[in-house]
Amino acid sequence: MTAPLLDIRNLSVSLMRDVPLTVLSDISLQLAPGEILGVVGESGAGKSVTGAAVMRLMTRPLQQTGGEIWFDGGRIDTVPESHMQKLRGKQIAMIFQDPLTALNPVFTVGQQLVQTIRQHLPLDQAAARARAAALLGEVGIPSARERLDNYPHEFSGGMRQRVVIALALAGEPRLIIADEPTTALDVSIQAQIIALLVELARSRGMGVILITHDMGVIAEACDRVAVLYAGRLAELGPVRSVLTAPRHPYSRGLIAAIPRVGARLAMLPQIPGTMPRLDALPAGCAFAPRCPFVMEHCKTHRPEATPRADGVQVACWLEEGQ
Amino acid sequence: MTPDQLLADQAPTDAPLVSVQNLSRRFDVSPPWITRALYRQPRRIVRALDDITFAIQPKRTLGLVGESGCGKSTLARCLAGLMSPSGGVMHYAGKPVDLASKNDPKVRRAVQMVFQDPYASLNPRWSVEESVGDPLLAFGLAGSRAEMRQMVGALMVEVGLSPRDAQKYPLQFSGGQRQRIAVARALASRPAFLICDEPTSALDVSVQAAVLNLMRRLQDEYGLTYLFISHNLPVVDHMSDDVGVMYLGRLVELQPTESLFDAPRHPYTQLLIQTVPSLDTMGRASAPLKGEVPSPLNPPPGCAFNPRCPFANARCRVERPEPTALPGGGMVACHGVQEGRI
Ligand SMILES: Nc1ncnc2c1ncn2[C@@H]1O[C@H](COP(=O)(O)OP(=O)(O)OP(=O)(O)O)[C@@H](O)[C@H]1O
Ligand SMILES: Nc1ncnc2c1ncn2[C@@H]1O[C@H](COP(=O)(O)OP(=O)(O)O)[C@@H](O)[C@H]1O
Ligand code: SF4
Ligand code: SF4
Ligand SMILES: [Mg+2]
Ligand SMILES: [Mg+2]
Repeated sequence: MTAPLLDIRNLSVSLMRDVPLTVLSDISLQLAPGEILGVVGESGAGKSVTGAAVMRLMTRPLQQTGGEIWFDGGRIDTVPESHMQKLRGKQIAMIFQDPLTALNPVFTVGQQLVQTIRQHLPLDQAAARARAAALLGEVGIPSARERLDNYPHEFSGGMRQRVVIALALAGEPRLIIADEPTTALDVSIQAQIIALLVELARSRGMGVILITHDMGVIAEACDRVAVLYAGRLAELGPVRSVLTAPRHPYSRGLIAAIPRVGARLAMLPQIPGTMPRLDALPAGCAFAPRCPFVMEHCKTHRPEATPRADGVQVACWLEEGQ
Repeated sequence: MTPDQLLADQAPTDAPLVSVQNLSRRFDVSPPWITRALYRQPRRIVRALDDITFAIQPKRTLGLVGESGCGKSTLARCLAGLMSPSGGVMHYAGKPVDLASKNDPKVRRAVQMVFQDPYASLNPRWSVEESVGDPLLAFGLAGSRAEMRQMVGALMVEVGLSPRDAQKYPLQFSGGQRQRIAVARALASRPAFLICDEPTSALDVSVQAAVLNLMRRLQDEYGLTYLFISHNLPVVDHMSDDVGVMYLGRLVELQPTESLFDAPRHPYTQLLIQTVPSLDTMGRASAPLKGEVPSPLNPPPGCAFNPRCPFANARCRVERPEPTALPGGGMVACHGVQEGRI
């Protein structure tokens, strides 16, 4: 493997309360240049926190309590904030889940793009405006030049998200962390955005962490996929393996719950129960209370996400039995 | 259920519960008049909805799909009375509804909406009891606060939460739980028609399955009629009896779900169905819909889809295709289909 662009080693994050709560526990992930890594898992599993930790954008009660984060051969979780600010936006960019929080309602889309572009690239006003129009066009906004003068609320939800993606691309970053970037988009635009991210990854060697709950998107775009559950890595492996032959009982449940065209089911298969709250995690395997295969051992011993014979990492005691 | 009952249930009754004729909505997105005067710029009008006509039979689900910005949410908001249309009429249970004022409390009660964003659709400063109980008090369905409290508790159970959760605030719930609360609030006034605008788009697949199963069960139990908007085609396929496809403010095709997915007629529908990301299209992100999405500010003349359509001919570039009925039920608005070329 080429030297990883991003190397997350045993990352742990806690919510600093009177009694600190573990939000992410011992997560390790590597990302090569030009690689697209999908991150899936239910809401609250820790996907966004993982992204925020890399960006060092975690807010107050959240704090990194263990592990290291390396970017392009240098450790970044310990560098001064001033250094991090230079990386952010320019080298590492983030596309957020909620397009409204990323856009300022009182400025036109053009003003916001021009400002971001000029922060990162040595361009004059006119050149930056041309670049802004080109970026809007690249993300599929029609009449890009005219649309520069519109305010965010004059766009539909999907169009706003495309504007947000254009903003993230403005500094020509080497790593993009995209947190649910296409959740609000319809399939055809989603396909365009995903194709755009894939193309940027391949042509510029840009690494992409794609956080999404859409397994279809994962299937089309990603090289590998990580399944998170309750702040822990449940399974990590090549997309084909995880999606067509999921091994962790949680991954199996997730994939069974996806509606398929033509299936004509009355009801969708559901994983019973809900993900436990962070302050009420069971002692052993976090999935044990919902797992159809649970064994006595699981209730007291936590399984590690160990690489198995074929390289797939699975945190489940069933794997040990084989 | 006996097969007879099944047939009786599925046979479309003649009278639709909801119907819409020639619904239109325009937005004025012109620059300020001073800019227009100085730079001689014209007014700019977005036709978010352009002559939309359809009907939904009682207890059935009409799914609605279409590209971002094609007007799905605008349609939902007009039908829910949250926005007044620029033209057209809606009938509810056979009677015309004044969408501009929508002052008939019966209709206001009977038509409810569930939004995409469970975070935005509930007032964060209201307890769940206040949010869910509000329509009960507003429509006089609960005689006293005590009765309201009891009804809220029952609604909470109905959507798979505990009555005790009613004292909590939206921020104390997960996205899926909040969407359940939004469904409980929409159900509080005992509506017959529920408009769901991307109700599970913000949810992950496991929670989505739970919410979709909940909506299915409630539909069966209470005989609800749904307008179900989603950009996720497998989800629409799973939920809908019929599916309508919108493109740039126009309804371009409407068919029973199975026919639409098995034999889509409109070239846009065909492309949409080909580009559904699925587990079977592994590593094929390279086939997005070609061509620029036309601007709703400046739609192409004739058929709005013509710049991206592989079947476009000279007529398509000048004449707008009107809806024509399909033999198996439903309609399509395409010259190519009408001329027998597609
Ligand atoms: N308040 C508004 N002012 C001006 N234009 C608007 C307004 N609301 C919507 N529009 C425009 O109307 C069109 C339809 O928007 P709408 O929100 O209905 O799209 P949508 O189909 O729901 O899209 P999405 O899938 O992205 O949610 C878009 O071109 C949008 O820019
Ligand atoms: N700013 C914050 N303050 C307190 N708790 C937080 C904050 N951000 C996230 N959390 C908690 O951390 C856990 C993981 O959240 P997140 O990473 O957002 O999940 P997701 O996988 O849905 O992206 C959740 O329990 C969430 O409530
Ligand atoms: S370790 Fe045990 S409880 Fe956990 S997923 Fe595997 S079988 Fe289920
Ligand atoms: S009317 Fe013409 S351009 Fe429009 S979809 Fe049909 S064939 Fe294509
Ligand atoms: Mg998140
Ligand atoms: Mg919408």
